[in-house]
Amino acid sequence: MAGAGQKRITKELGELTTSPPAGVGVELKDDNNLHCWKVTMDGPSGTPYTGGKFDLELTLPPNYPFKPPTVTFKTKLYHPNVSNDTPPNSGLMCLGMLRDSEWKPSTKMSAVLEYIRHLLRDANAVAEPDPDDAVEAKIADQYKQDRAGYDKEAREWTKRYALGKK
Amino acid sequence: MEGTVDTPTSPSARGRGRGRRDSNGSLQPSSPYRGRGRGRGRGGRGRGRGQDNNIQTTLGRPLGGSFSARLTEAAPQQAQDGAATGTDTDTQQQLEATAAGMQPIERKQSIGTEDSEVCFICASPIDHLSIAPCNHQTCHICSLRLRALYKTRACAHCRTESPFVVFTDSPDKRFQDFEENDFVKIDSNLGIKYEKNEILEDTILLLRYNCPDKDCDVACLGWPDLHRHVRSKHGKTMCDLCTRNKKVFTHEHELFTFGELRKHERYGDDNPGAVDQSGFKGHPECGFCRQRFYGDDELYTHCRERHERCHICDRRNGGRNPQYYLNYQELEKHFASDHFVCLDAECQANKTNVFESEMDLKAHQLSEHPNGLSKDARRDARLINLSGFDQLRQPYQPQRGGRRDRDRDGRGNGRGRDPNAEPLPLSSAQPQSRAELAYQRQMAIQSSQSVSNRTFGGQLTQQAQPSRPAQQAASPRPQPAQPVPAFDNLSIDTMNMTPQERARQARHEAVTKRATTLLKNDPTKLKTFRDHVSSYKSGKTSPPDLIDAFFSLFDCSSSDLGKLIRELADLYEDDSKRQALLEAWNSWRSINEDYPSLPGPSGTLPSMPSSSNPGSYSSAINSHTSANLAATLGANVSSGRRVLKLKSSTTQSRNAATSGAAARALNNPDAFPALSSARSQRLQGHAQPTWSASQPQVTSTHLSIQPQPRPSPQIASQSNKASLPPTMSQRNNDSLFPSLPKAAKPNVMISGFNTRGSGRLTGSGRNSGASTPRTTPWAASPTPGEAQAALDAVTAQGDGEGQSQSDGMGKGKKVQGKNKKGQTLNLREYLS
Repeated sequence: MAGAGQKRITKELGELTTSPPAGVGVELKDDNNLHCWKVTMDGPSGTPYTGGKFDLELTLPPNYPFKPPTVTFKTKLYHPNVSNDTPPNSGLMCLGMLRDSEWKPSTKMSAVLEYIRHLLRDANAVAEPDPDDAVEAKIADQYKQDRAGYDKEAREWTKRYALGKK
Repeated sequence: MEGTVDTPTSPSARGRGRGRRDSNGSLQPSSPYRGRGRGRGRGGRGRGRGQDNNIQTTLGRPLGGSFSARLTEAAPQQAQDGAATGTDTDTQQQLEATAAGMQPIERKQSIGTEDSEVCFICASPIDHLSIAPCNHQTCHICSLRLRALYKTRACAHCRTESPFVVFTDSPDKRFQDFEENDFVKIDSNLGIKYEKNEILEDTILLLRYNCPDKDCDVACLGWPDLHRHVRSKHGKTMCDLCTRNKKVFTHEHELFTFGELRKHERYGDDNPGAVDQSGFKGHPECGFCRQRFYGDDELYTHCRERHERCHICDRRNGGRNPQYYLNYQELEKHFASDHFVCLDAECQANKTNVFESEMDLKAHQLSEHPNGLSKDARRDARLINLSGFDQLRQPYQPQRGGRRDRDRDGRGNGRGRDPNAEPLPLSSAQPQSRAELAYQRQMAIQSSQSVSNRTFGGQLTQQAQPSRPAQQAASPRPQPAQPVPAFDNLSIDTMNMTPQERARQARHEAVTKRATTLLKNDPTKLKTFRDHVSSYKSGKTSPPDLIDAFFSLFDCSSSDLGKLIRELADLYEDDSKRQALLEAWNSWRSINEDYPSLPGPSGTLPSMPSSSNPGSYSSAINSHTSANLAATLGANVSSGRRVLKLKSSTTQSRNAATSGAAARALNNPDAFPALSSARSQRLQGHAQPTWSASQPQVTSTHLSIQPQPRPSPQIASQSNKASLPPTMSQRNNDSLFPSLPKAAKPNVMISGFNTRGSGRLTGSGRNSGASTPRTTPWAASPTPGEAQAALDAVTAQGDGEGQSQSDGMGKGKKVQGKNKKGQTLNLREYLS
């Protein structure tokens, strides 16, 4: 019965693997652990992330869907909402909808992933209206004030970290 | 297996509704029954809604459309099969036509509805619906989970706070369509309005202390009782941390053997290959205390409260990788070795004596203690040695890293500095001359000897060591709390009284005042309180009895009572009396407070007549409603079967047994102690007076969400149970309700073994089965002699039997439990 969330996870995973959102691939990191998903996301075209393949890790808490999952970028990425910190926090993604206080049990992982992809397309979508979500304040500032510089840097990073592998 | 058909619409409407839903694929692709209800129930409205069934947030009524697919009893099995396979619109329509044709159209929903739809939140089949004011729907279990366990009233779909939700079986009704008199029960604690008794019962079943074993339909009195049950009946244990913190229903907890429990605590339940991975990684342990905590958050809170962090290091590394020190002494050592400490006694006592750099320290000394330095020294202090400036910063980094590594190594065994590192004298970090140091030390001694306010505490504790003033600062407590001898050193200006007398008088007044407040100025009660206290003082009452007496007297939270008891204990000059009282209180608390009580629907409880757990509610009762409800409910479903079904487990032959038991329970008046009004007619004898006369303070609020550890006296009524066959009485007994008196606490805390604590409980309740009926359950409880007798009796029984037998001997049972644990441990030793 502890599997209250299990069914939900299985169901969502099934939906995501059969009909994944555009540019997003989902699989289990370890076949035996439903709670840790490996997500690959293509950089949306027309953005500095174009062509990049980004690995993410999506971790569902034991009491999912009553508590929010966490999303971590495993591929380094220059983005206001993705932490550039040293390992324990690196790649951590700060999303309003994933905050404990704002999490809705009805939110599906497909929605979360689409939202993340949306963020790659337009960092402003979150960074501007909700500065709390910008973990990298410097990048957020640059995004707002020096878009060209930001684009260049982000492209640079994409080339360096996200292009090599296929 | 019956469905609702209120306003059936044309098949085509149904088909369309379903089709849309399919196309966006957001709902239950696994369910073949999708969509029918929309057409059937709500007609046009439903169809419109289907469109906004997007991936999230905008779900109008996520389940509304998908609910429905109920087949009548009349609907042939083949039809269901057809439905399961037929996914295209035509098949579906055909099927519906068939189903509609076979079921009486006006048929209202009735008990026994079975849905093949799944909840959007948990993806499990829906038994009953919960509808929030925003008209979002979930299954009643998800809703109850959020409300009762997660303590949130936010809608799972849109986070709208709703004071009430409706638990219903009508998927097509809007929240606003319900009228106040549609409900059989309104539980204001959980904020749930029940449309039917059946739903109410199903809900209450979930909130009981059900045994997690999937084949076991026993519901216990409380956590301690459940722990005892799983150990004696199933030879398993439950994870203490999980039972306290994990937000799942009782029966969803796991049972472990000792080995499994250890693995669970250390590594979590990761079990490669298993289907039911929980993602749980074990309970983290505090390296200092060797104590495990439920999760990282709890560990963090513990470290924040119990251990020390260096604010300077924190500032340097931005709060990441926090480094803790066991206590302030260890932190001071770290200060002395890694930072710059001002040795001035006042500064040390203030704990404001550590600086990040030598310069900061010098600046501090110049501004705060200019007199402490000689003229030359002051002049020197103003000079900044630039040659050293680089060295101060540059070589500093490596040193920092080194220090951190050392700390990390030393963390497990004792934190702080590595003993192998070069021992630093206390003053080594000080850039001062020996003369200055000597002077400062002298000043420190002087000031600590002077009778200033600041060092006053130091004298009290008589630890005045100039070099470690921080210890003094940590130990002194507010003077009134000090035991009397502490006042000997004081020369307070007194009138006629000695300081001791004055202090005692003050404390006496404080106790009386608190008691008066807690008793709401009731003079008779206050008198009773005084009587109790004096009889304790004269040795006529044992400490546990005194605490029991207080509980029957005071209508207040246990923390308030705790304050009173501690203050009272301080009044006794006789140390043994004080200790005994505090001990009794602590053991009571460890038994009764350590486990969170599950929130029980307050007022609803008593209205659960046939569900075999009556005694629990009792006084919470609103007697009119409950009596009525009892009448309406009448003979009913066996709770045991439901529990098992609810645990989605084996049906087995147990069903028969349990329903039989329930039926018997029904005939047994004792099964309904809750229904005071009904009871009084059917049942004469001691039980009724016992609890009707008893504590008025058990209110409905106490019984539910707030942990109310205090046992309700009504269990006394259970005493008649002795006349039942053993299994019977046990069942009744065990199926008592949540948030009720806890029985013996089994194995968790050392203090939990205190037999006295359970003696109180059992004295009021179960013990009376074995001994003579008591009219005043609270005053009398078994003497240690009785307990021993009970113990002997119980241990004479076989293990399996012990449980039912011990109904009348709660105390013995607990002791037995303890013994058993010992046995098990021994056994384990043999095995390993």
